Amino acid sequence: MIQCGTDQEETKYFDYSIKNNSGSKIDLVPYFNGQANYSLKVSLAKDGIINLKKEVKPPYNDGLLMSSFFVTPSSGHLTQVEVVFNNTKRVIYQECTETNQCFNQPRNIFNPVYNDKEVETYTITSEDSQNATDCGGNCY
Amino acid sequence: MKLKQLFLCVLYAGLFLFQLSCKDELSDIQNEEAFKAEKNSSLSAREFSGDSLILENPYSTENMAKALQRVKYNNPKYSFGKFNVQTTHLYLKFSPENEEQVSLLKSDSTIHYFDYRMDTEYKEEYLANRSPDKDSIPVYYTAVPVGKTLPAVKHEVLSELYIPEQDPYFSDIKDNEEYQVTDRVENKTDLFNNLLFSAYEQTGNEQDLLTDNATPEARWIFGSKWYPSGNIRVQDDIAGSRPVTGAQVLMRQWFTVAQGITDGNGNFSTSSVRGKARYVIQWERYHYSVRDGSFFQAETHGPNVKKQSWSINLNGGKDEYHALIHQAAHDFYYGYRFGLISPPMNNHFYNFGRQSQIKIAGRLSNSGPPSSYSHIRSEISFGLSAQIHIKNYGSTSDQVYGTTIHELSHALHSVKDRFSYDNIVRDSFLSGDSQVKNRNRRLLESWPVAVEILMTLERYRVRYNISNYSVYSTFQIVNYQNRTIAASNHYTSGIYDMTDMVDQRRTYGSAYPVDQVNGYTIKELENALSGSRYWNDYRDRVKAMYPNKPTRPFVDDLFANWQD
Repeated sequence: MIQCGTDQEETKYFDYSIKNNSGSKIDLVPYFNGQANYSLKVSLAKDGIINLKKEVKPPYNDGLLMSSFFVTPSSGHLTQVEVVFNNTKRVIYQECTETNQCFNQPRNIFNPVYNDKEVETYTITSEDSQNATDCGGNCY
Repeated sequence: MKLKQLFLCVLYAGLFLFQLSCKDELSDIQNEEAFKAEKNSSLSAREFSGDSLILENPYSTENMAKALQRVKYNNPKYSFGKFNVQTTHLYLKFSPENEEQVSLLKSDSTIHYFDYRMDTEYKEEYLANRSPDKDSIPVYYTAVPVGKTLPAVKHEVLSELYIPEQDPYFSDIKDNEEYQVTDRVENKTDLFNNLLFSAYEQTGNEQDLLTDNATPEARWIFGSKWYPSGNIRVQDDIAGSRPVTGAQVLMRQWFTVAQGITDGNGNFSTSSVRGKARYVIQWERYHYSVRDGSFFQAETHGPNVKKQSWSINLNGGKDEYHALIHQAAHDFYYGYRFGLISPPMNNHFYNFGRQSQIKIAGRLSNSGPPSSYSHIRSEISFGLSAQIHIKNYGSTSDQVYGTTIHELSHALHSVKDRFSYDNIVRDSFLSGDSQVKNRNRRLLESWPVAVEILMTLERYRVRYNISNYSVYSTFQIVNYQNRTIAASNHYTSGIYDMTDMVDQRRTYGSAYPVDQVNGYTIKELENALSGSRYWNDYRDRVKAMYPNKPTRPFVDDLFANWQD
């Protein structure tokens, strides 16, 4: 207590990954406040993976979520993530709100099932690619 | 009784550990005797000696008397009347021995203290990186008018001073833009300028007075008063360049200190000075002091200039970090705080005793023991350790701001009801029963989380009109709403949840708190802290104090999200 005052508690070790098992090259395009921001796009080659790690101490006002792959301090609030497959198909996932209960959407990247632990991996599958919507030739 | 013995045992063990850890940080710097010896061996007025540039003091009464002799010698026909050089000020070194004595020093806001000598110039990196003296509590330097009542703290007079700029005898001299020193004295203005220049020249400091166009044949000095002014901003990661409000800017010219406080736009101005003076931001106000590391007063050093304003955007490094910590503390102490009581106020008598200035250590670290508040740590170390330690160096601006608010909210809790607070802390850490620990710790930490969210939202969403901002910018937990029950049993959103309209269960699902409570103000929730000893005790007090709240029937469910 004397050494560490009121905020002595265990360290949390966050380890978050996104894997591309879709069989296609993919782009993940973040939307901030409803607007796409292509400069913060994350691209993953076939079988590619990206990973973030972070060590966090009390008062735990830092950590990782799947949104952490896209946000910057000044980017604003992440509202959607668009997954583009080979620039031919796309799917857009929307953040959780009272009117968009993402916990009922199994593949939504915002679904708490991919965001509620210290170690999480979100894997994009060939089924995601199959279920995506055709862009009509060019997704951008 | 056993509990008391155990507590004392842990207390002493903690103190021992604390001293050990502090000794690692401590290394010697030159003490006063070494400094004097070094100074005496230096015949030249401006000569680097290690990390410091030792200056001969032009304002010593002795030097000024010599300067006057020289002026008189050059002007045998001028009638000096009753004018004489007499000590007007004392240059003092205070050596407080404990926090109580530091508090005595800081109780007079008209005296500006420095934890480095005022007659020495230091290499910039020395002040930035110096280690504390082995005496641990810094010594303080200041200059005060003769006759000023001094605090009852051990001190020594380093030098008797005569400061002509502050001598009423010279209050009516002409305010020339520039003045040419010719050694000839025909009036009081001539006397003032020649006396000052001689004193500076005798000590090798004449460059401080000479203008840029001065030559050995035409010695032009700055004759007129000027009013230092400027603008202080900080580069906020989220909001961009923003004014720093409430910052104390000191204009130091040897032993004369002029003060200005930045307004809502970051603008400041001070009273007048003559000649060259240095801008210094001292990150301190009456109720709090931000420390650079654990021990020294945090400062940002501006230029040493003549007749120039100073505007700066603090961007990165320690200066940005200290500015953000200051801003959070300033907002909490002097800004809008939702009607909450103040965190501990300097020189204020509470029912448990007098409180001194809160020290906030801006630790340049993001690892090791986390940010913390402890009044006990400060008390048992006799003020050696700051009450608050912030360890968010390198974090985003909103996290530095929010963490500072969080720790100050603990401090607020500790003066709201000291007895209950200490009881909560004791049981949080020393109880052998994990359920008791959890129920205490949850109350202890959920209160500052609530204030942290509200005040950080106030800064970014309201003051800076970033309508989509939520706490935090890079860790988008949406004001702690996107956080599972299991994520933390102690740092919960539970108290904040009584003020907001979000039901996490509906948004995020079954792993998240059910929250159908709203309509409570943070002030009402603060009032319920008094007498509350643990989580459900607090819950019952909230319900009892506010029986007519429409969502009162859902309070039990909210608190039950987190189990002991």
